[in-house]
Amino acid sequence: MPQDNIVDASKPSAGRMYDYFLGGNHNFEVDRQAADQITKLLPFTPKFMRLQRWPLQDIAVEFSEKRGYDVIIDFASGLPTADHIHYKVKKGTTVIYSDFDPIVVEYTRDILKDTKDTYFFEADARRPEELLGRPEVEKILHGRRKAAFAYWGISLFLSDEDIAHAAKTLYDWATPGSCLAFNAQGADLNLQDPAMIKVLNIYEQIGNKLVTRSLKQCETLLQPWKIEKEGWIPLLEWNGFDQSELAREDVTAFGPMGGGFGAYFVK
Amino acid sequence: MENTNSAQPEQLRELLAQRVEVQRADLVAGYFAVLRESLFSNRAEVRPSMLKSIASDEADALLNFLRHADFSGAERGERLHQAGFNAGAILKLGQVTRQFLLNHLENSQIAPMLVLVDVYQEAIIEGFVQSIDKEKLIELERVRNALQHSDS
Repeated sequence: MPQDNIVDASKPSAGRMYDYFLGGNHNFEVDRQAADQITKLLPFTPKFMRLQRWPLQDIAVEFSEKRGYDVIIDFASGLPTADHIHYKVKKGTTVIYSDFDPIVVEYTRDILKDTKDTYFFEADARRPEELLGRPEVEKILHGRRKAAFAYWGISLFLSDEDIAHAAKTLYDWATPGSCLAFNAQGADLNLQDPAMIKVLNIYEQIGNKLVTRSLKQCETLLQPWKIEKEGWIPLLEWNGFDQSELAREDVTAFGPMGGGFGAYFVK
Repeated sequence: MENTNSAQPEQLRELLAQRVEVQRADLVAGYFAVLRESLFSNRAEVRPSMLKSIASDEADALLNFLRHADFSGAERGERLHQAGFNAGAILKLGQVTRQFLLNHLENSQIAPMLVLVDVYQEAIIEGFVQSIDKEKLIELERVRNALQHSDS
């Protein structure tokens, strides 16, 4: 995701548009106009965004309570609002958030204040080594490398090379038994759909070329992480919905399951 | 059916509280239906898995209002806003409560009960709006601080 629009309030930013799609306040008029244009073309978009946001706390519970990880590292976190990971983890779990938007990082200081065991750093999800190699992070982790990673809600904005690099970096850094939650965004998007083409063009115009890929391609890029036997879960199903949530035009543009999938990978 | 025309406010409250207890499932189902309907319009903090417990809490809140004089409807409104609900959802919850009265009370009981429930709804809306105003000021301050830090 290019950084040029992040602190520029005169141009739409994909991150701030995402916030608007989620009903947040961390956005500007220019973001709202672009997002509204997208919603007009593809009315399912705000639902698509929410379906991908909601699993975060399920992931937190899965990592912290069910699997017992005491280190959770999240990339491209956005604002750590009440629906985010640290609200749902067991006491004593270290949560490290990161985002490359300096405004988000500053804003977060006020949201998190002195929240125990929860940290937020400015870092680019494309280069996890920058986060993991920070002296402050090394000090917080104190040698702990059995970790659970959330790489969620970002794949559309990353190139194949970025994903492969991030996956390999995390795999090499982490000890066996570590886990990765990955969200394959837009795996079934219909790139021939006229409205979808227009939306992709809007994102491209604001400097965010969206990259779609099949679930199989995602698995290949994430190697040597191994997908768990449950495989990919459509986010529609993950959130307890069925296909009746989608109108016919939604299916045409986003695919029969709404276009978003999530899975756990292990080392 | 008891005549409520001359009933004291306490008696009215208790009568309605009993109705809520007896027909609680119906009320909770009504709350859940409107919460589900408005799910995608709220802030994303409102997750589908929360709706059942919020619908149940909403019935509890009404019962608390009816039975405890010190219960604050405004606090309930504030909490609903902080949870991520939008104004549309709050208004629909109020409609469910009113519809519940219409469905489960005798004609002679409805008017005084609606007055009672309107007091509750007004307090909720007042708390909700106050919370919006408070949040706006906090957000403005956060944005100002963030911009100031990132500029320096």
